[in-house]
Amino acid sequence: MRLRQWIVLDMRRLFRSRKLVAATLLTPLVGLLVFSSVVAPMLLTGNNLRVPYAICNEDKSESVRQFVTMMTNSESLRDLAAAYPVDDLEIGYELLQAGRVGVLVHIPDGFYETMSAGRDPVVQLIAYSAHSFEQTMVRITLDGSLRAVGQSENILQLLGKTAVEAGADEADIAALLEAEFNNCIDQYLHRRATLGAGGTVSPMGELFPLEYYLSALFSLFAALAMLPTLYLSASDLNGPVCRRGLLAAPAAARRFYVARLLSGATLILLTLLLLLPASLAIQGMGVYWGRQGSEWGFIALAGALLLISLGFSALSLLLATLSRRPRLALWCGFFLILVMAALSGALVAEGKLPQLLAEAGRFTPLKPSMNLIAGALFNLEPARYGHDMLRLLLMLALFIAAGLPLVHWRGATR
Amino acid sequence: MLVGRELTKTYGSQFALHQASIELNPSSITMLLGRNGSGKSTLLNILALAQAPDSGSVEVDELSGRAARAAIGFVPQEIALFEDLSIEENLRCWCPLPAKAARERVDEVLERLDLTDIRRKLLRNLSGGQKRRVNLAVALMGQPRYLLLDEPLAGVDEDNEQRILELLADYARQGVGVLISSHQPRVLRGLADQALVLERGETIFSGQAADYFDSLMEREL
Repeated sequence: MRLRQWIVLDMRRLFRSRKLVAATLLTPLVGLLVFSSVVAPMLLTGNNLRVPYAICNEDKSESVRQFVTMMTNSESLRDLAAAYPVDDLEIGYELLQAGRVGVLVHIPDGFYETMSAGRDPVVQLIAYSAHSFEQTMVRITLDGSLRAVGQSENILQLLGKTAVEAGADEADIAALLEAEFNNCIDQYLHRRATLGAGGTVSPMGELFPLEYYLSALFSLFAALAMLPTLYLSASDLNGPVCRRGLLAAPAAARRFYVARLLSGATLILLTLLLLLPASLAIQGMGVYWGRQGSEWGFIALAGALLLISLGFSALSLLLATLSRRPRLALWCGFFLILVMAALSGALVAEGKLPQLLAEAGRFTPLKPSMNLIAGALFNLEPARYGHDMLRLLLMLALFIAAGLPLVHWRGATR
Repeated sequence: MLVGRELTKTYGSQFALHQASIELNPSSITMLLGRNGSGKSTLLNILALAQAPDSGSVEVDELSGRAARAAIGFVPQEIALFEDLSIEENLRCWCPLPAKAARERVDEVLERLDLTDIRRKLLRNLSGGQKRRVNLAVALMGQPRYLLLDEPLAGVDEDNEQRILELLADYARQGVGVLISSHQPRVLRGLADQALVLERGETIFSGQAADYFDSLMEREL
């Protein structure tokens, strides 16, 4: 069969099978619905996509007071969150009930004492269930921030104590510690400008969690969209295509491979395109394409989506050659996607993974996909973008180098 | 002529075919006989260029590559069709001809195999006999010079069996060389000119079909 015949046949079969159509089209629709139901309350509550929250600090310590002040006045958080400091918890509840804020953060009296004593302090986050998404985002950010602040405070105190025991002046050390503590908090609150080891996608600091979740969602659906191609290819390699000897000749096997790679990539790209309206909506609400409103954002996104689609399509073909039972291949593909999602930080926050597993996640196509989507949509850093594109390109080359000979071998050996 | 010379194929340490040779002439019908596991399917797959032999060669009228493949119509033992497509769609997707010629060819083949009325039915909704006919129809789409059929009569009722045999005789009269494997040599009596019998990959008889049936009768007596 000619290349064009293969592609036309693939498209016909993919959209003829009700199961395959359901798998490809329903998945992103479900994702859009979930995303909409989670994000909509946030959009209705506040301005654009900034999370509005009230913060009630009942702790009397200077350290916590300064931290809260710096957090609410932070330049870097201004685009991401709108903080409403309140003196009284009742006022906070009123704002919550009026829908002016999505989350009420309550720092109780004695918070700093508890933290200094080495015990786990408790911060209350109060929200209605419709705003559970914002509550989660605030919790993750606050959790990480307070933990960092608390640990840093302890370390500084220990250093101060050590310095005093070594003979330094106690008053000087106290003044130095206070100045450094404020400096550290300031640096921490401006950490977004610095890329961490996790790249542009990390739930624990570098990017606002909304951007992280969006890129993880888009990437996961791209990966899931490779399942129909996987099933179709596994069926063909164990069915009519091989039985008629269509793949016995190397040229014929190449035609089949290229056609299936392109039709699979087209399917994945269509799935991703369905999710783009969500990103356009975000753009329209003031979250820009790239940090400085880069005009290259759209082109970067187009390139990224193309490469992601080809990468997952090639992976699906490789997986299809490894099993003689189409259903088994499908299930293996599904579980592999779950594993990739877990290792890449799409299902489990990257910061909570053991080091080895987090490193392993870098070698899956899902991780650079997440980085590319997040970068192209929200924070286009050319060097980082180029690095992830190259990584994904290498994976694509590897999948093709392994998959194409296997397709020919399966066709020749039957 | 379709010629297979000293074809050998092993699976692991077992010979599926050992030094088997065959010549298939145009306008002739050769029956390929043997028990299960004798190497019939392997020989057919190799002659159809669907599988490469470990040693030996296959020549198709001094053609090579795609032209050689196009000259052969292969009907595999298992149904090799797309279940999600209709009869017509299956025939069109396997047809190597340009669009207009393909449409005409589809109509012609459907007519020959009495499938016109059900051309839009999906494969999965057909009976076993109907699927067998479609399986054969696909092999006819490219106007082959040689037809290789692996157990085309298996699981087929008497009416369909007769229809298929008449069709094969007709194609042979038109100049097509036919090689048909079967477990039922008596069905092919009067139809086949030549016979090739395999046992455990080895050729135990190669010659005129009439001589084979005579020897069969002698053994029975």
